[in-house]
Amino acid sequence: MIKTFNLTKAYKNLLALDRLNMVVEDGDIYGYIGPNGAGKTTTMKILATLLEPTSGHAEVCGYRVGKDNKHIRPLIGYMPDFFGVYEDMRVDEYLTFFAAAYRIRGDKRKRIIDDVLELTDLGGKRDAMVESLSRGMQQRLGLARALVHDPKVLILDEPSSGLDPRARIEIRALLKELKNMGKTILISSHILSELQELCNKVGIIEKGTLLFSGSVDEVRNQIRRGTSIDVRVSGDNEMARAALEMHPDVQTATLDNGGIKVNLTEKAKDHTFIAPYLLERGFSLELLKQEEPDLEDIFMRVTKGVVS
Amino acid sequence: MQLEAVVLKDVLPYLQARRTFIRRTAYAGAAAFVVIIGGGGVAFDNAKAQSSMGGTLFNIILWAMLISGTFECAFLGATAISSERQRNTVDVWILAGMEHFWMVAAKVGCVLTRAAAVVLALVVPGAVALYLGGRTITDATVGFLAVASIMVFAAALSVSISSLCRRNADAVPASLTILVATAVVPGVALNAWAGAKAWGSHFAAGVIQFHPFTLLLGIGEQRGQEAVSAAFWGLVASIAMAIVLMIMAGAHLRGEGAFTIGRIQPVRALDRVLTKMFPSFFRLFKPAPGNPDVDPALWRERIAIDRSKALYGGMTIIDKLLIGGGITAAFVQTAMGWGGAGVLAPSPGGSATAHLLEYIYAPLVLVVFLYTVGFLVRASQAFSREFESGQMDLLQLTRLSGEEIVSGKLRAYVRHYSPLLIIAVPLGLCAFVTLANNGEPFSTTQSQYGTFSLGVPWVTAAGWALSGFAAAGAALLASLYFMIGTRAMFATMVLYFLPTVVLMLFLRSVSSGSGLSQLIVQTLIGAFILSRVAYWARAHMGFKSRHECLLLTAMACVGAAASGPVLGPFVIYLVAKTLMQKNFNEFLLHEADRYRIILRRPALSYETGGAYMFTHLGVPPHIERRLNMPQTRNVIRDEWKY
Repeated sequence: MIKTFNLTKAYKNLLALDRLNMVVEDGDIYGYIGPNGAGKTTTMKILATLLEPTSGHAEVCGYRVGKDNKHIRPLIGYMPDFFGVYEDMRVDEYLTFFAAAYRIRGDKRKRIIDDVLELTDLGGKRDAMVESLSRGMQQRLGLARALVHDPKVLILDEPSSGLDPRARIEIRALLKELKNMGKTILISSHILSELQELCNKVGIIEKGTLLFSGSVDEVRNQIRRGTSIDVRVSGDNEMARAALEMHPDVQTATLDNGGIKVNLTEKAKDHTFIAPYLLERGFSLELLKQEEPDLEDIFMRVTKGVVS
Repeated sequence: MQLEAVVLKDVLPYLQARRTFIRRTAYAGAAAFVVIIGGGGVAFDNAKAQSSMGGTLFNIILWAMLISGTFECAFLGATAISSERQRNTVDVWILAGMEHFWMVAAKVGCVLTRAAAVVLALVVPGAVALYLGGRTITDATVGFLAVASIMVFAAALSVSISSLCRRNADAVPASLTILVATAVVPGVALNAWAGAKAWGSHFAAGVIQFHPFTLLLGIGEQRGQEAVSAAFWGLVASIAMAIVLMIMAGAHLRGEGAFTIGRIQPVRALDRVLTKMFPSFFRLFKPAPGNPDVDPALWRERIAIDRSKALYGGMTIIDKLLIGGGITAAFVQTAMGWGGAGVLAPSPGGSATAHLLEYIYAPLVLVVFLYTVGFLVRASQAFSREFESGQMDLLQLTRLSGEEIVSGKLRAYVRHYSPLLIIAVPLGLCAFVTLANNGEPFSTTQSQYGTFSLGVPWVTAAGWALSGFAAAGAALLASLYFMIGTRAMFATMVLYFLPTVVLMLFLRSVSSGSGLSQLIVQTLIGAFILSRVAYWARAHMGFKSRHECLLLTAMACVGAAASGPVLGPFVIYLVAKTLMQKNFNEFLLHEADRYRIILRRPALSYETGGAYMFTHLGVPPHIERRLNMPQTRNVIRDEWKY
């Protein structure tokens, strides 16, 4: 659905994107993560046909960005990070304007506006002035606006930024609903726990370079390899530590807080060998725990906190 | 301490802009050179001619000082506090312990300092003109005191109005309107009723009439040291009034005014009442938005114009009152003229016709000017508002083409200007009365405003009404080109009034006194240039460089000037429309243009690695290191937009 091929964007002497290769399949919810200034918004703007790449190219729904913008634009719904609205319009007027701008006319337009208002739970605010809506409602209105022409792909740049917890939960529920409707969604956010729950794929970008791209499970497994495992036996922990250190898949084993902290080598498949290995040697196991990395751990581990 | 903080923030960065000063000094030097060359040629063989030239030049320079200084004060003052409010920094200032009155006073001081830089640049050629003769030191003293007096008043008034406004776009038209109403109207009105000669032939009388305090002190009627004394007391009165205004603004900010700006409910209430009373008349100002299916951009823009907020919205009622009041005044004056009231007594060397025209012209010209300024401010936000709110990106993604967006907005604003057509009614009545009085429909009469013929009011009225095309074209072009509201607003003023000035100069240079033949010649020349400019613009797919754009604009100015008051606005409209439509997509997508605003923005001190000016804490070492990294500076700049 979305593909980039060595996508590069330079602003004068600033390299915002450096040979980005990214694939988002049909029906994916792709979480795009990176620190401020990493190049997320630039990527999204290029994919939304609002910026031209310096080199490389991108495809959306099989159309090439730049050459086939006319074909791409009706297929995407874009919500920018800095979302301003026409404050002087009513909610239904705002949606009417954008629907009319997408050449949706008459009864069909009315029906669609009813639908998107219901979907975004703004039906009761139809006649309200946009300026009177809360920030969360305005974000939902932005999403409703992005949906009026029934796009296949949604490009959402930080849709939850600045929202309170309730509004964030509402947006998340809405995105899940859209996922069930079969939309392909590319979403960036700083609230990583939210993406973890929502996305089936993530891409981590830093300094214009895509550091990682894949499913959340893949990335978790990859990160898990590097995490330590807490082990505690009922007998002599020092002896158990020495025994573990002899195992070829164990890189280090150190005593830590009355237990043993084990780090595996890169080649180790997983930590399942530890329990039988210790039992065979007469140790009775009290604790065997590997910390489950969440997206925040992954993000912190993968990125270095530098900007391009 | 507070004054120091404002000076550090507002004045020092300006004073550090060396190029500005070099440029202004160069202008002043060039002007002085021209004066010397011009005056020097006659200095040795004709002292009388030299003296006459010196007097004329000094008058021109004094007027230039007055206009540039007053408008600089009005614009800078109007944005002084509202821009802080737009950036949400007013509350930060107050929380930092800034005393309200001193905050306003410091802002007024800064505005005057910056405006003085413009005025002082003209002192050099002024001194040379004074050296040539024709004017005395006393004359100059009175003139300079009058200019200073008006600037002090204008600065204090604008800053005070700025303290009431939420946005610059509200503050600027409100400031200009109130400034004109309080400082210019009394002078113009008294001049119109009593005639210039009542205020003496003293050269400063013209300037003085534009200020209520000096006017009331009657400087124009006095001579020598008495005039200097009166001008001095006029300055004192201005300063006193400025202090009162600053205290009032400080008191407003001390309350909730610093943080919240309420809507002007009485204005809206009055608007509703008047709309109910005169629905047909007010429909002229608020046309139905129409059908979104037919023209979505027009539909959207009409809703935006109709629902403008706060003072900005309040301007729509001011427009109505202006036009209604102007027409009423014209009718009353015409009726008085018809009834043979004393005001129609011919002035020496003139006639009743000319006198009548003067009376009717005075309020109507003022109405047209004020309405136009308000209109230009509103129209200049048409695109910049879309850029600033991020809506332009979203508009681009729809199926609306650039042509449709431009055309829809233009149509909405041209229609918004059209109520000025009503002005043609009293002018027509004026022509009818004059015809009845003289019996000669095309007789030409001389008045202090120049040469009038009966054909001219109609032509001028049509020109005014059609100038909505020029105003809308210039404003929208500036708005699309400059992207930021405040810049677009200033650029619009320049774009609109520059061709007008060129037009006036051209008319003066070619005016032979025969209105009809002049009009025909101008129309023919204008039609030819119009066709060439339009063809040339269409043949070009876009202005790839700023030079091309400037060339086209210059041609449009000449074309407009040559086309006269009727066709001129069309030339500007067509050129602006063509430029916008042909360049819309390229302009928005073209990176260099898109980033022009960001890159032109002067680097802030922390971006260039300089020390903070406002903190005694200094910059923590690790932050300083990062700020000094060239890449970090670029990110900060680029993220300003994205």
